[in-house]
Amino acid sequence: MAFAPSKSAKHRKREKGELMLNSMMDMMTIILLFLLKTMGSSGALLRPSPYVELPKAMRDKEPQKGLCILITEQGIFEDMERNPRMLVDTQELTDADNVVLPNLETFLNDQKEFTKRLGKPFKGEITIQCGKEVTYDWLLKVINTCGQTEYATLDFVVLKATTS
Amino acid sequence: MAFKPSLKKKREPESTELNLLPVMNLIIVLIPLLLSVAKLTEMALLEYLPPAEAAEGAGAAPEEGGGSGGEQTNLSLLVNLAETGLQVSMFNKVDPGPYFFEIPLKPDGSYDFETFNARLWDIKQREVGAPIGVDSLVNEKTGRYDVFPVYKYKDGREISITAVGKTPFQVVVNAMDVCRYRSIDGEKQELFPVTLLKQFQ
Repeated sequence: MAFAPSKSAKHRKREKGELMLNSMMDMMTIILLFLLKTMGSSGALLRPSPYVELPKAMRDKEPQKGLCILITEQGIFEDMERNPRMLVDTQELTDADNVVLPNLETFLNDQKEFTKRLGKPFKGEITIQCGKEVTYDWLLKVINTCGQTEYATLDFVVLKATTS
Repeated sequence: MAFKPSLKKKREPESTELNLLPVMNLIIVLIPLLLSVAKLTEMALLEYLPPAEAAEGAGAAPEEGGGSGGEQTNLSLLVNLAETGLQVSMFNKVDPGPYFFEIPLKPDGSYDFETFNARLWDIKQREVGAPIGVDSLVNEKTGRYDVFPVYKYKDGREISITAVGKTPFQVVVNAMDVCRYRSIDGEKQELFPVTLLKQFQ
């Protein structure tokens, strides 16, 4: 006599191979909220130049994008997204006779004239990304040059220090 | 004859789980986008005003030196980041004494900014004293009035910083930070928030 076919085997349903996405969703949501919180409008306005290692300081004034120059150990550059244009080379910077940097002075005067031609008010503000290893004598020459060309407000970009 | 039991009661309920795949897809796109614009390093601005502008902003007279009429009007506080240490001078004095002293370097060769900060607090208490009033000035950037205390010295909120030519910018920035505030019991007490960079004498 043949055995009756097994009912349990016949009606056994195959388990579905679904992924459990709930835990991953939780994780993703946390990451998303964290990123949304850390994202600020200023981050999009002014980015630290990859060519400069900025110093740290305990300041909290939000950076603004304006006329921006870079001071590095290789010279002074016009701040551009890619391939910044050299304005002053190291030879001009190390020359002890240069209290004011002629090439930077020309550039700043051109920028000032350009602003006036556009009909915008000239505020005399300049944003400087200065490398932390740049020496004080170079910095003073830049400050002197900015003063000569009526750029009276100098804003140095720094990284916010966390400890007080 | 009894009916056969219905098979319906064995039917499993249909799954009521949400289909999360579209949401996951959206989040996976959003995360790289936000990562690319996130400011993982926070930046700030260190505002520097040249001496004349700073004097105006601090309510001080632009000229330096003591008053000619016998009454001292300017403190003329100056710190020199020298090779041997931090040289602090008041009233343009250069002879060692209460108005000119040097804080030597630490054993590791760095400047002793902790001691310098404590000495500045001492100067603020002893020489400058409490504010004798307040003044205000329109901030051209914000359009609002900036209110600041007024001391018996016109430059009671100022300190000039000079350094040898090879001093790195980070050290100058550290000195500027130290000159601004002193933390006492977790509270920031104002020292000399207007810092001026000058030529090494």
